[in-house]
Amino acid sequence: MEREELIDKFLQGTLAPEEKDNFNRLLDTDPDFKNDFEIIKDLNTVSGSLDREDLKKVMNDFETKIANNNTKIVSLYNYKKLLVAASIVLIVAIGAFSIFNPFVTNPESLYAENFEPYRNVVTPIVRGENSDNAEIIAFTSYESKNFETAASQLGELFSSTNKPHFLLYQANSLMALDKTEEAIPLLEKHIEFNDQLVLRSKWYLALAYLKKDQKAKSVILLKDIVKAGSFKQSSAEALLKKLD
Amino acid sequence: MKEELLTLKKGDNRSLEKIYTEYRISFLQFAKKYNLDDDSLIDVYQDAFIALREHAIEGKLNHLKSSVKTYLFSIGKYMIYDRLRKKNNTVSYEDHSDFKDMSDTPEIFEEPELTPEQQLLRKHFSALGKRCQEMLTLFYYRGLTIDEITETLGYENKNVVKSQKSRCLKSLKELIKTPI
Repeated sequence: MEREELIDKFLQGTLAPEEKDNFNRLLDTDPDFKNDFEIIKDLNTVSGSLDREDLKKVMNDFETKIANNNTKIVSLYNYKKLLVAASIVLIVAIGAFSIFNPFVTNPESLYAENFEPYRNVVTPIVRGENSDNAEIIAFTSYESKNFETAASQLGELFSSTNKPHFLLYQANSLMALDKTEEAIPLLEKHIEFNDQLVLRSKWYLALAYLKKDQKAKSVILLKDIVKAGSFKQSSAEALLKKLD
Repeated sequence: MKEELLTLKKGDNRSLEKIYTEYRISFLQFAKKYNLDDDSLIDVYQDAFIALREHAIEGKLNHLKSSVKTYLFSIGKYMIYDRLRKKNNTVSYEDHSDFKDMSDTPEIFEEPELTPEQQLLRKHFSALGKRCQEMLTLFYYRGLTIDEITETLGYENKNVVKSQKSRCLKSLKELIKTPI
């Protein structure tokens, strides 16, 4: 019988008695066989962990699909309601990003693994609807990843309306442009407003601090997020573990 | 229900959309009373869903007496309880009348910590071609037989699958030998 099949059968618990003897003998006497066995026996755990990671991504796609079907009918100006809807879209938006990578421990790589510009959840852009509304224009830039333009448009919007959520998106645009230093004061300011999106800002600020190698500051925020027990709780927990 | 279980055990992740969506709204409604925000509830739902599929693969649902939905909800309920407890240390199991009757709660699933060897293997495994990753995952994680894989992946016959699987293992071993 082939050695590979012997190992497979052992793992499935279907070895016949004489096969068992053969298996044990090879394991004791043949280093190559032992080596193969060491690899194959871990494949269940390893491929399982990757498969679950994939399932997470796939579920987030399902959520995006559900959210897209829901937001299309919401009035563009009813943004308070949207903020509530935002929380539903949220998990999707950033996704339960796996930060599982055993080879990475320096803060900057942790930042790179975790940062993804926060999805527009406050002003959905409905294709085919024409409007010159400044907010729509700004979020269109944001969604089309014209972060340079978006950052300045969102900055202007904040100055003229004083609505805090613009700060979060402006900061995200800047982070996407690698202008972390400029993003940090905006996020700090947004947190002072303490609006419904405050945990988002804390998360992004925690990442920004990581990027700037200010681990201690980042840890404080991550602990806050874990304590709040909702948005990004598990990601923050995982990140804390890594930073430990 | 039989078909549902089969999809959970052997179906491609994308094929789970129907089941995922079907129970999602009623779960969110059911869970509303626990005072967690929507973010957390979707988080819980997804974690519960992962546990559900894990249990299905492990064969724990083969002799399930309740419906898959009830099973999923009881995992979810336990996870909510767990979150509430972490969030607010004063909630004890006994205090919360709603959680009193949870003796038959299915154990929840926790992502295993990989050993250093497994972490390394994971890295090499990810470097394999998609086809090989799929093949090895179906066999070693999902527990599909060679015959089932032949059918699922549309191979001509099972000998092709067998030799393909051996080739994939060989590539994996080569990757391991090559220094990163």
